[in-house]
Amino acid sequence: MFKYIMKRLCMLIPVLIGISTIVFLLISLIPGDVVDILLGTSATPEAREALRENLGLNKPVVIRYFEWMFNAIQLDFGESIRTGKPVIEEFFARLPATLQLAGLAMAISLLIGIPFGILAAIKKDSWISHVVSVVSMLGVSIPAFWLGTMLILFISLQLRLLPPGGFVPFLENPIENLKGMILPAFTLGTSMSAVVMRMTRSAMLEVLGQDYMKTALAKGVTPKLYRYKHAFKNALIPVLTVIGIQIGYLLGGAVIIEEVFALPGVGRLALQAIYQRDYPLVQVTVLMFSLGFVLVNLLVDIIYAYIDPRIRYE
Amino acid sequence: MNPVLKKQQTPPVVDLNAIDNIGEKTEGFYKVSFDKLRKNKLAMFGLYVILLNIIMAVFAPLIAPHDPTEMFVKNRLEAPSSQFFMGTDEFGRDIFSRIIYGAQISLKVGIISVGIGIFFGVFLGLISGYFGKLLDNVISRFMDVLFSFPDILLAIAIMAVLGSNITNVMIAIGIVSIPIFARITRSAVLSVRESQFIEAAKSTGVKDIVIIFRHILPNISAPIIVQSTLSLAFAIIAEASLSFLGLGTQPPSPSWGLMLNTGRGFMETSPWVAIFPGLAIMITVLSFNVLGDGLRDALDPRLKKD
Amino acid sequence: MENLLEVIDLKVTFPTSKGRIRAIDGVNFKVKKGEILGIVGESGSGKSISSLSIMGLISDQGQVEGKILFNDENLLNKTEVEMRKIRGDKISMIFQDPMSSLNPVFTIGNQISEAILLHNKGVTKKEAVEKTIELLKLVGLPSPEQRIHDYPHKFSGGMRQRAMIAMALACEPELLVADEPTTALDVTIQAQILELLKEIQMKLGMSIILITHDLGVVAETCHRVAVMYAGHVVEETDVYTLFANPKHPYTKGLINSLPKLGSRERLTPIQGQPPQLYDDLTGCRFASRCPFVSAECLENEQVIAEVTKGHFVRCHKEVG
Repeated sequence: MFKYIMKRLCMLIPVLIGISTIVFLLISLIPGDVVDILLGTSATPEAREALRENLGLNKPVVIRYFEWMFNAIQLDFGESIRTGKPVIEEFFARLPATLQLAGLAMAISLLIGIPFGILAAIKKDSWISHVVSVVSMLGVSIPAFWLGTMLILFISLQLRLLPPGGFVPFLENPIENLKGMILPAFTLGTSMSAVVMRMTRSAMLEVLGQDYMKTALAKGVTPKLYRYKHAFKNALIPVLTVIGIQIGYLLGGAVIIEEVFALPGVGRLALQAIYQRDYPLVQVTVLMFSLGFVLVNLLVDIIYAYIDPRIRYE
Repeated sequence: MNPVLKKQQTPPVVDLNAIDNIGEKTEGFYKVSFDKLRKNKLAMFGLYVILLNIIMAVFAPLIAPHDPTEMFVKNRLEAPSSQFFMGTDEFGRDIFSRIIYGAQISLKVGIISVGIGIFFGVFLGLISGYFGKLLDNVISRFMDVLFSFPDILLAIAIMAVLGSNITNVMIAIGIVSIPIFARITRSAVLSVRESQFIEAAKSTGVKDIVIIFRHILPNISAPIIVQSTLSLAFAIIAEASLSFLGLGTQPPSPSWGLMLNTGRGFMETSPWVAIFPGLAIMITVLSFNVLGDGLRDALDPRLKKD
Repeated sequence: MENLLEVIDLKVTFPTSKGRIRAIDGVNFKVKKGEILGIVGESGSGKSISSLSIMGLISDQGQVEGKILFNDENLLNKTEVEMRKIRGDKISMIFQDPMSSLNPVFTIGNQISEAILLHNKGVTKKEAVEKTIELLKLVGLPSPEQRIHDYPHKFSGGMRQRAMIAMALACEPELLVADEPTTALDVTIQAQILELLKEIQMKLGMSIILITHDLGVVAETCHRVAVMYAGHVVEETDVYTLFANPKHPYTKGLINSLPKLGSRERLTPIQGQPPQLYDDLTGCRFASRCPFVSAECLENEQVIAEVTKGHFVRCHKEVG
């Protein structure tokens, strides 16, 4: 198991280098002179020179690349063009809201997706199975920003049940915090619930048709053991893969959901940075999101190996 | 067990019967698949809605009751009525007409960006799967890196660099769509490459390029058709998302995502401005998704159902 | 000897889009205590359906009629909960493909001791593990103390089948149903597994139903044989009579299509295909392939009858 984790960690290195290279190149790829774009052509030469210095534009691109990478390893991604503060600080200040949103969304999607997926597989051809199919198809097709908007319209504005947006830190007022988080987390978790539900259903159906399930029956196991011990542990393997992939959608979706519900998270920070052309801030948010995605997938791979002995010993 | 023996005993990933069918008797294979698809009511529903969408887009000037940019200044934010089937927006423009014209944008962005994804993805997948070795390693690692970005986020980042307009939307979504096509093509090529009819072609001295286009490409078309349909669904939702965030198509374009975004401002008083564009997106995306599912079942029963 | 299992007029039908399939249509056979009964037939003859009926594992769509008397109790009248207590305890089963019959995500030890713990209340986990090791020793698995911690993918096919047998023996069943236990194995391993089954049968004195399509396996292992064809038992007798004096044309055909050592005679295969088992079948099901077919065979279905003591045949020619 230790060997396996080390192997996975080593495989991560080229990916991390690739990600950071792309993120670095983002700025270099901007058509035209960045300084012109940022300051306009009428700025003073001193101001232009100062910005070049800050962005490191007065050095050759290769040198800049290595400098940037060297700093990046020490979590130094430069200063915000707009506020002058280190971008990593701005990032961490916004992280809690996003983490809570993504965490809750994932919890919701697993709590909905897995039990209903199992139920739909066990009660194959029953009405519940059809409902699950239809709902999961709708869930992946509904645009999150529209669902969020509709929830605000009906639940917040018309029924006045929950706040339409805004964020109260959990430690300040846990109840208000959770009230504010329910709608965004549900919205963000919808598509993942749908995908997890579909995958759980099809994986369970496949496992239930396997020979070893017949062996379990011949052994005289109870229905509970049959479903949850013998079947589900096998079905969990493909479901986990899908969960790993869905984390990416969750992080990307957070950008949109934070905008819809006016949550002060990293996604909204990234959008603001884009609107204001604050490139160091764009870089750090994109890089950190991808890093988070990669690390979560590493975790998924490790859990995967823990469940499936065939992978562990490969 | 003897490793050579073991290798031979693993069933070939590609059904040789299916290859026979696709290779020469293309018509037969696709006819059988289409018959199967026709029996799938949900998929056919999707197909009809997509056809309706295409008709809407192509004949928009004939179908739409009003010009999508015409402002009926006296009728701003009017509720749905017989004159304005889905109401009007804050400038007094007819939402129904704008949604019909919006189909043009959705389909255009969808088709072109998925086209970009297929073109580059299939190309990269073909050469990395067929030639293998270092080339395969380089391409595959690069695709891994692209896969490591949450896909909407990658599109957003590309838009941030390129600037917001409809061409860049297509480029950004196109780039995001490349890795999945590359991966599917590569694995399909790998499984076809080892089959005997390719060996036979190679041994008679057929050139690589001919083998790729004559023998391999037709045999991997089924998974690519399926993925194209699903990628179209993604492209449409991605375009809407980018436009919603103000990073995609710019006003006064009747992009569904953009309309929804402006509609948010009047939600309490005029909810229809936000409701209808969202419904349009959902129904279109749903159609592509159910069609993709149906195609997968029809074209390749060996692919997993979900 | 006393009958342990008696199958009486067993019928199993499945609905399909083209009508009901009569997978098994009036099957009778007995298994005595301490006996190995072979059930021979080609695929689709209903031999596997028979074994699944005994286990009560026919899927919900399947309709089962008749009687399956096990120790004089009709298994078909038992509830699912009662059957669950019998399965794996009084009657256990091993399957054709050991590569796919073990759950890949649990250790061998876990899967075997589960069977022990399920049917023996009051047995501790530690005792179950000890018993598991003992069972694995019995089936000839080397160093079982270590191997119980292994996952199935580390076992070869033969070893997995040994583990399957150990699992089936976990509660010392009175009847072991072995459904083509050697078909998926290499020839040398096949012989070992058959040898093991015979040895265990002698040691533990249980009864075995050995389902196979291979007459060679039958000759080597079984005491009595039932030959199945298209949902019927067409001949049932002891193994010596079957090979020395086969009565049914199908059995004769099977024996003739076996190569004989030292003989350079041409093999004579049975021509044609078995019929599809829809409702509209009339007459003898082997008629279309039978070299001795007569008008009577096409019209009336013959029931199985005893021609000499202990030798049952389902054929107009033999019974008259």
